Amino acid sequence: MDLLETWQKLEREKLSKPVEGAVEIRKTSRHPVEQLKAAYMRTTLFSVFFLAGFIVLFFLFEEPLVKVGIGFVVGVYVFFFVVNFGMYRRVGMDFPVDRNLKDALNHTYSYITENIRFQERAALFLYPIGGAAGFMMGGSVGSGDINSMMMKPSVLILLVVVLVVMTPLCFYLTRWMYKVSYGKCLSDLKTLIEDLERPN
Amino acid sequence: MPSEREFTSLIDQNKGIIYKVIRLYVRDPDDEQDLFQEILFQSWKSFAHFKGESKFSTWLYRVGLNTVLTFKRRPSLVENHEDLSQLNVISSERKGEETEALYLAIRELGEIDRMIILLHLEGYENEEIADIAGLLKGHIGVKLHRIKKVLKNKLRIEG
Repeated sequence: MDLLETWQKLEREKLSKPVEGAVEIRKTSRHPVEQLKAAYMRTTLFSVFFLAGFIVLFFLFEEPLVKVGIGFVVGVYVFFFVVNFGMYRRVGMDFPVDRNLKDALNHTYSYITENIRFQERAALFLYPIGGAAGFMMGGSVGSGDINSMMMKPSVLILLVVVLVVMTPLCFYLTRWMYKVSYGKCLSDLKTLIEDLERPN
Repeated sequence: MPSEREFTSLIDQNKGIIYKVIRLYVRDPDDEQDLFQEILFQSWKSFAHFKGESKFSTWLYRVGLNTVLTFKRRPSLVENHEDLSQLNVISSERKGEETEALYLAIRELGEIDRMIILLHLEGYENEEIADIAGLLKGHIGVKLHRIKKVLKNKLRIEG
């Protein structure tokens, strides 16, 4: 069998068949990097939504302790918004889809890994703070006097328990969610990089 | 800024490249369609960077292969399920099956090897393949030698 001759025959017989369906340039992508970009946009919109909600709450509550708590959460959300929007703008800007394969694979792999780490850190930081703020607001609404409520040792212990449970829970939940979403993709990319770099 | 019309005209002339890349990596018609649209999307997005330093066809191979290999995988995408044991009985008296045997043998290769042999069979020099893959020319030469040996063993090519 002559490889080249058989290849040309194969091209004519099998590889040249048009792909079924309409050919149009669609507006969205299912590429992992593009999906991350879309996820950043969603998170940015969510952070704006929650930020607006917390600003309203800031003016609704009168207790200074709750105001300080909500003010802190607003600050965290502003930071989160800025970082998320920055990531949204950066994602895809330098994606080397028309550069060499080694660059494209390494870039995609490190980009996804870096973003998962970012989300894990955000979960570690943001959700427990949100939880603590929610705890204080709930306490304020429920008891009517947050200052005396926060003086009770049982309430403080409960707050610590909520934080101790929520922090690792949010962290591992985020890690698990990203593993489900991107685990196979990352493992495939790693295998491809190793295959590409193998000496023979 | 290049126009969409210019882009679609170039794609129209070279869409065989996209078909070829897809056929070597995907089996399912829905995945084919999905990947075709994805390659079009990525090509269009990167088209502004195309300076004409290489041929459009080479650039399209690069974008197509990068897209296929970095795309988020579904189980049916890129993986092989063909029973290649039948290849062991391919012989010179079964010429009609040679093209099918070659197709199956190439699909049985690893994804990177598939890319290298595709570009080689399409007439690209080792230096060009190395440029597309991001490897050294010598590295491609070694890989190509091994891939050809594997294919020869699978297909029992003489010589």
